[in-house]
Parts: sequence; C-alpha cells; structure tokens
Amino acid sequence: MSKERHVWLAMRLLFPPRDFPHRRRRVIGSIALVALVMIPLVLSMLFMDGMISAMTKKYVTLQDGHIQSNTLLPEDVERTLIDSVYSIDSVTVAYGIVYSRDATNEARFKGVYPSYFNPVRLDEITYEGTLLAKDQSLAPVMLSTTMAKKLKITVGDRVALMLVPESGNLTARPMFVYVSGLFDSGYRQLDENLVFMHFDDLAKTSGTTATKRTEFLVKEAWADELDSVIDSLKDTYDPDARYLTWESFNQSVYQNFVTSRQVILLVFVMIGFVAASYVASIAHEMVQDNHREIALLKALGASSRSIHKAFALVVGSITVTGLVFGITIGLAIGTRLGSMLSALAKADIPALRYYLLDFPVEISWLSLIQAIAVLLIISAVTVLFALRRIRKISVLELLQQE
Amino acid sequence: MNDNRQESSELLSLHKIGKTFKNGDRSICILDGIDLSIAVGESVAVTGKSGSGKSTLLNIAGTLDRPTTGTVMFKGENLSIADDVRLSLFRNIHIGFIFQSHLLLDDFTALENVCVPAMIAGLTMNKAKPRATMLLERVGLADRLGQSPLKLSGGERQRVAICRALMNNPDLLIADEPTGSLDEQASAQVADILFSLVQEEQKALLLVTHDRQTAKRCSAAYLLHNRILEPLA
Repeated sequence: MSKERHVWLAMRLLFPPRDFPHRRRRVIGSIALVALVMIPLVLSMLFMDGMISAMTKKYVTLQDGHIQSNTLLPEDVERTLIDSVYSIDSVTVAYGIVYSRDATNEARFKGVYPSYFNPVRLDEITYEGTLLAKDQSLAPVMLSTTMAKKLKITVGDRVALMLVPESGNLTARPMFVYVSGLFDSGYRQLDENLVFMHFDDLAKTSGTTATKRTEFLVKEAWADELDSVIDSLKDTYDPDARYLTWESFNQSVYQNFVTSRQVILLVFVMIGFVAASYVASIAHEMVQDNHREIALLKALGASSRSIHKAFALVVGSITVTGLVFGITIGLAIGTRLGSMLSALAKADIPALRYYLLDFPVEISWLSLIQAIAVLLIISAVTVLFALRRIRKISVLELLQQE
Repeated sequence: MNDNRQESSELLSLHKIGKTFKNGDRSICILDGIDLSIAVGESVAVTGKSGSGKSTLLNIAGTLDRPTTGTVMFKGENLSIADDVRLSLFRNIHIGFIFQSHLLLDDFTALENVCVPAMIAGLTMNKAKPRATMLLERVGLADRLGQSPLKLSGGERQRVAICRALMNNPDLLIADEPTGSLDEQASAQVADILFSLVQEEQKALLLVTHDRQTAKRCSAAYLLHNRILEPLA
C-alpha cells in the first residue's frame, strides 16, 4: 500500500462523509475527550510549577538566600568578585516575641542593612512605609501585613519585642521599636513570623543571642548550580567557612516541595495511563467499526501492516489534535489563573495560608514536554496493542457474514 | 472445457486440492482432490448446490484461503507456500474479485471505490482516476462517479464492483455469484457487462454461479458435486 494510500485511508477515517454523522461525532468526541484530559493536567502543572518556584524564590530571597555562610565577610572585602553571585549581604538572625497592645506574635528577627532590599528582593514584596529608614530615636522594624493584622498595628505604631536568648539562663530584655513599614510577600506562611530590623540595631540588642551570617543571592542562570558556586565562594573568600544551600536550611520545606512534585507527577502518570487506555479504546472501536472495510482491503491486496499504519496514523492524529487543543485551552486558562488566585489570596481564607496564591504563572515547557512524551509513549504502546486485532481480521469471515 | 489449450498459456492451475474443516473432533471434507486449470483469456464456470464448496474452491483459487492438501500454481509460481504478504501483493496485481454482495467501501464514492486497488498497488489517486472513470463510463455509470454506494441500486453497485475488479488490469477475474443478489433484469444486465468486459479486456474468468444459463456462457463449466468437479453436461 503506497504512502498516499495510508494518508488517503486515514483521511477518510478522520473525516467521514456527511452520510456518517455518528462516525464524525465519534472523531470529534475522541478529540474532545483527549483535550479534556489534558486541560486539568496542564492547569495542575502550571499551578504546581508556578507555586513551587515562587515559594522557593520567597524562601531564597527573603529568608535564607541561595547560599549562607556561617561567618560574616569583613566589611572591606571585595563583594563583586564572583560572576555567578548577584548580591552578598550580612545578616543577623534572632528569635523572639513581638507585643502590641492587643496581641503577641512569635517572630524571627532578621537584621539587615537597607541595601539588602535590592531589586530582586523588592520584586518579591510589596510594602508601605519605609525600608527600615531611621527617623525616630526608636529602632525601626518592618513587619508583614499578616503579622500587623494580628497585632492590630499599622505603620508608625510602636511595639515591644523581646528576644529569646539561646541559652536559657540569660535574662530576656524587652525593647520598644516602631513600625517603619509593612511588607507583604504574598506567602503568609513565611510572612507570619518574619520581622526585619536594621542589622546594627539587632546586633546591638541581641548581643550574642543573634547568629551572624552572610547571605548570597546567585544569578538566575546559576540557581541550579549552587554546588559549583559554593566552590567558587570557597576559593574566593573563606575556605574554612561552612556554606549551605537554602534547601539545607529548609529541609522540611524543600522535602515537602519534592514530595508534592513527586505526588503530582505520579498523578500525571496515572492520568497518562487513563488517557492512554482511552486512546487505545478509540483505536479498538475504530477497528471494530471498520471491521468490514479492513477485511475488504485485505481481500483487495492490502497487507495487514499497511492497514495497521493507516489506523495508527488516524489514532495518532486524533491524539495529537486532542493534545494540541487541550494544551492550548489549558495554557489559555492557566495564564489567566493569576488574577483568580490573587482574588483568592486576598480573600484571607485560613485554609490557604500554606499556599502561595499570588505567583506569576510560568510555563515549564520542559515539564510539559515530558508529560506529553509520557502520554504519547504510553498511548503508542497501548494503541499498537489494540491495533494488533487488524491482523486477526479474516477476509473469509467477512465473506461468510455477507 | 477447451482441452486444446496450450500448456504455455496456463494461468492458474489447482492440483489435487483438498479442504477439510474441523468441527470439534469431527473433520468435514469439503473438497477432495480437485484439479482445475484456467488458461489466459478463458472463462470457467463452477456450479453446484449450496454448501457444495464452490465458494471455498473460489477462495482457494483466489488465495483468500489455503487448501488443506494440494497446490495452487499461478503462472508457474507455487502460491501454496507463499507467505501472507506475498499473497496480498499477488491478489492486488493478478486477481480481480467480484463478490456476491459487491462489498464496496461505503465511506468512499463509486469512483474512489474503483481506485482502491490501484491505490493499494501504489498509484496516486490522480493517476488512478482516468482508468477508473473510463471503466465506470463503460458500465454506464458516468453520472454516478461521485455517489456513495449507499445511494446506488444493487445492479449499479455490482457494476462498480466489476470496474474495481478490472482496475489493476488483472490476469484473472474471480466472481462469486455476481448476480446472486440481483433481480432478473439487473442480473442479466450485470452478466452481460461482465462477459463483454472480460472479452474486451481479454481476461480469464473463474465464475461461481447457481445459474446454468450463465455458466453456459463460459468456455468451460463444471459441476461441483460430492467434493469433486465434473464437467457440466
């Protein structure tokens, strides 16, 4: 059977004449169902990838940096020696409690210099007030809007804070500070406890209670090459210092991300199997429906293999068309998820505090291609299995039936 | 039967063909030691009662079925030992089938149905169309080229099937009760068309029919009776 014959037969199966509306409906229905499987798959992929990468970015930019060193770099050290590093910041961290007139809140105090709020970090927050600008005798602090809401305070209010010493026998001293600004990262889980203070204020107040570190933000292109960046840091700065990546500091968070991703991938694979079995059933139905035609083509000299190819082409075309429609619709809906999720985030629903709902939707083409490839591979195997029936269709059976 | 045929003109020959079907533990013998040969341009009719094995013999001759014993030779090639791919190719090139119930593809137009064997053989639709159109015109279906078989009468469908059988210019036409499902008038018309085309195109014809009058139009006629072929009186 010639190549054109495959295509011709395949085209006839794909576009049945008007006299066969049920065949047309079946082709359209099959495409629609493959598309319907793909839409939630694409949406969940966008949601998962977007949220996890946005959460990671929040943790990296606001909580720990990509890499932390347990020592402070001397003030006079040249901080722009490594190409892969975007910024190097000295930070000090302490834990304690914030008191307002109406409420208290546990807090993780992070002492930073105003230069800490570089464009990358400012991209991750919205804020009102100032970024730790000192215009009173009291030390300025910057709380999250989440914490401010709980403490019922706003910009300009005073609050008391007490740092919890690392060793229990030291006396904790309360101090008054004023709220110079409120920030919102969009991720309530992170915002709930984070309080920014000026590095010098926290260092002075905490004494030996606070730990001093150096945070490194690496450039986007190096975000997946943290080990080699650490090697460069060791070579350039203190080879004896301990350098840790953000995952090490947030083991449980990172593990949750990994687990979530694995679970969702598992779900994808299962969806892939369901979709593939559906595609195989399309193939099976088509063979069943065209039993007579297949037998006749065989009688006229077409080989089983050539008929097999034509049917595989038809099922492949239906699957690919369904995939294209499903992905297009999924992406069209997915890229409009942002505004819907932002509205959800603003709704302040307690159950959603562990989710980051306000994130830019990024299309992970690699994940998408991988999911499609898995679906196509599973489908191809099941379809080839389903089309094996073509070989068994007997011309004699047809002649006896007729 | 024309016994003066030359050995060199022999097209198809069946030697000691036997066919046995298994039905549980029982074996049912349908054909037993059948010998039949057809020369180039010859027409041979096989007649017999229902269930006598005529169609089985035809299917074996057309390589749609394999004999239990015996050999099928075509132009000196032993087809009994050929594999399925070879037999498919052989059928496409050398045999034109006309079935009792026409067996057209409903999704295709009359013209496309006639083109199908040529497309299977590797011709493009455009290359196949002129001959298909010419054949359909010759059987009086020039105005039915674009019609679906579902919109054609029984006689018209069978005429399309005849054109399809002739499409690849085969050496042998095999027709199984081609007029069996038609009324008297259509039956006569189709038989006339078939015989005239076979003569014009100089094809060999192996015809199975119940109708003795049609059988007598062939150059040789046999009766299949008690699993063997006998010349028809």
